[in-house]
Amino acid sequence: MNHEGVNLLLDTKSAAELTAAERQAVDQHLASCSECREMWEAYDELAALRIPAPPPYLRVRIATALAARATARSRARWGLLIGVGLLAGAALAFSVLRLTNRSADPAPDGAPAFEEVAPAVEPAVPPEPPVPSNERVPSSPEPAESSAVLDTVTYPLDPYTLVVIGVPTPGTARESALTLATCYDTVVERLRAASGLNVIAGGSLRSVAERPYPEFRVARDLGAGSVLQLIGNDPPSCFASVANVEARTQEMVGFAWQPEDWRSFGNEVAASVREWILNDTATLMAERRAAVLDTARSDYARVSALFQLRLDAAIPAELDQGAVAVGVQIGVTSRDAKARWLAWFALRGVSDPYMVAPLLNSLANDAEDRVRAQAALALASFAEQPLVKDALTSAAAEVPSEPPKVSCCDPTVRSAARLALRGGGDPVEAVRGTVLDESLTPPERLSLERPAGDLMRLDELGAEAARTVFALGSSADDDDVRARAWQLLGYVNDPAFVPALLEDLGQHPAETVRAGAASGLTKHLGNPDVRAALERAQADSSLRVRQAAGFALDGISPP
Amino acid sequence: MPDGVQRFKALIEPHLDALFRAAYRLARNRADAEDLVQETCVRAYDHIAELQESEPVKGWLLRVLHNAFVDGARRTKRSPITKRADVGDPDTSASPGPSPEESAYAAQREELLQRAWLKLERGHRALLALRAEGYTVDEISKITGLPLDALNARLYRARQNFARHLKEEQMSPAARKEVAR
Repeated sequence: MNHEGVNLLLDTKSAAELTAAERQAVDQHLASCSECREMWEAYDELAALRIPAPPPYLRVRIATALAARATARSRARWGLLIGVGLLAGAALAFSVLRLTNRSADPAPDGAPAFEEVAPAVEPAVPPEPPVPSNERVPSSPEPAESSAVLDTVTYPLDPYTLVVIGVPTPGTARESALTLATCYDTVVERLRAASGLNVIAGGSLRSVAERPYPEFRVARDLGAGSVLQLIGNDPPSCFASVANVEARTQEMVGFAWQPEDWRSFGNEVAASVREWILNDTATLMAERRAAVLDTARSDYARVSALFQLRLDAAIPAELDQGAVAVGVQIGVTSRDAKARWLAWFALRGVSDPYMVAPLLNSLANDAEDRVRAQAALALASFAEQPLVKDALTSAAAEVPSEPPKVSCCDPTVRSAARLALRGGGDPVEAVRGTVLDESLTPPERLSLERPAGDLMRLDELGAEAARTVFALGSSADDDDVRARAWQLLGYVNDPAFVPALLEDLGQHPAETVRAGAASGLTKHLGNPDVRAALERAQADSSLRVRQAAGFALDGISPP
Repeated sequence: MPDGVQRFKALIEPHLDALFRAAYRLARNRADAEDLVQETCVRAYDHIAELQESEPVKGWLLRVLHNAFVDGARRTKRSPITKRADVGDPDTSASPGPSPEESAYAAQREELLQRAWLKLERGHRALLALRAEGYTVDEISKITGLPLDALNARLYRARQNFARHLKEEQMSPAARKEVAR
């Protein structure tokens, strides 16, 4: 019997079905033909590999995907009808315009708007599934049953599906738009490399920007449990924020403002999102620890990983010593000021005595004030030691330094030193002390950072602090300071603040201030005037304002 | 959940295990297998009108899965090498208690098989996976749409290629390094 004959026989009959003669013929051939023997041995080994049982959540996942599909198709049909209607309407309007306004002004000169240099990403519409290649399953009309699906149908969303959406800030420079495109591509690529997640590249939001809270709608239409927003802004930067569509909770997962950061930014965002969705903290912690110790990485990448480790450590003070040592080394020796800054930021709240001398050195000698401010805050854990106390007291009396340009209201050297000196006791008292300290400038007083790193909410600081913040916002000439104050008020429900916030929401020329005012009204939804103003703000020309108003209407306080 | 989806779910539910097994054989990792099953179900839902009354649902679903797999280049980005923890199911693991050396050897061997497997073209992988899953050549012919003669010839070539790739893998530097350890 030849090769093909043996192959045919073994494929068409099971071992039990072979006749004695056939079995003998097969055995003889295999004994004499090494090629066939090796072929069948390899195949048998392959066939014997174990197959795990399907995971218990697979059924839920399939059910949610099907429900999402049914609803998306139903909407797509309606969308098509509406689209045809709109196109017809637009064509009519265009004809009328041509007839009535032949001398329309050309577009103004200047920097191109975002829309003209949109990132090369797909539109935010549900992707059509590929048609099966086999002719026996050709494309077909949709099944009649799905036409009964209503928009109001609710279904569980797939917790393992994530939609990524780029959100440009209208009117930003060309460079910022391109930055967002790079940021988007990097993050999508890193997320797709993370197993266990279905990542849908939702594209840019601009096509649906006029709808309220479109990111949630898009995610819901696609059956996705989470949505990741990448927000671009000037100066070129990229924020990442992940939200749970069902619970409407959200979390900031990354911020980067320099192109050389994209890679570590992409990695960190992907890791945080994976953790947010898959909850595999132990694996991530191990990966981050390895990244901190990896000398092949840039200083900034290593302290980024340290920062994430620090965020996830159950008790920050117990961060492991190897990681702390890396942070300290980078904080003192790195040529990259951003890495030094982040190193001290990450080590705030950690109380390893090995840190004291390097921190004192940095506070005294670092060339960048923002790095020195973080060193001061990281020294809060040691403020009782005489040397530390002396150094902080001296820094607390410094002439105010220029606040960093990146965002309003980061701590300065002196405000950080004062906070650190107060920080040994109750953190609420320490932060309240900063807000009420009249010898500080308004941006310094509006920082609300705890010595250990995270921000305190204004409602935790009591009524006097809230009134102070309101007064600082009311008297501020600087739009960023005013916007910041209004945003902080988003946790406070004192009705005395409402008139000023309503006025700014309706009339202030700066979109940051209008957005801040919208956030500041979050706790006043019981007031019909507030609700009406927020609903009007959803037609604001600024996307930022529309989004802030949308969150406020949902009762979601600013991050 | 919409009624139509409920009905469809009831139709496919009894076959999800079979779909997952076939998908796992094709993808050789859990995440990709899950993706493939999901895509299969969504495609099948889109094309439910074409399911003939007399046609077995399972065979039809496997056909959709086969097409989805052969089409699917987008799943190739994931790491194909499965971690050991991903493979073993405590209830179904055959070995009652292998020694550490045996476990290590089995793990290395499985990696070799997987590397060879991934060198096969997708169409060949689909045929061997279905065959290894116990489907007869007649059934595979219906699933793939290949005439029996062509199918037999392709199965033969698929096995030949797999054995060749396995041999190459056994001689690869990575394999030699593993053995030397």
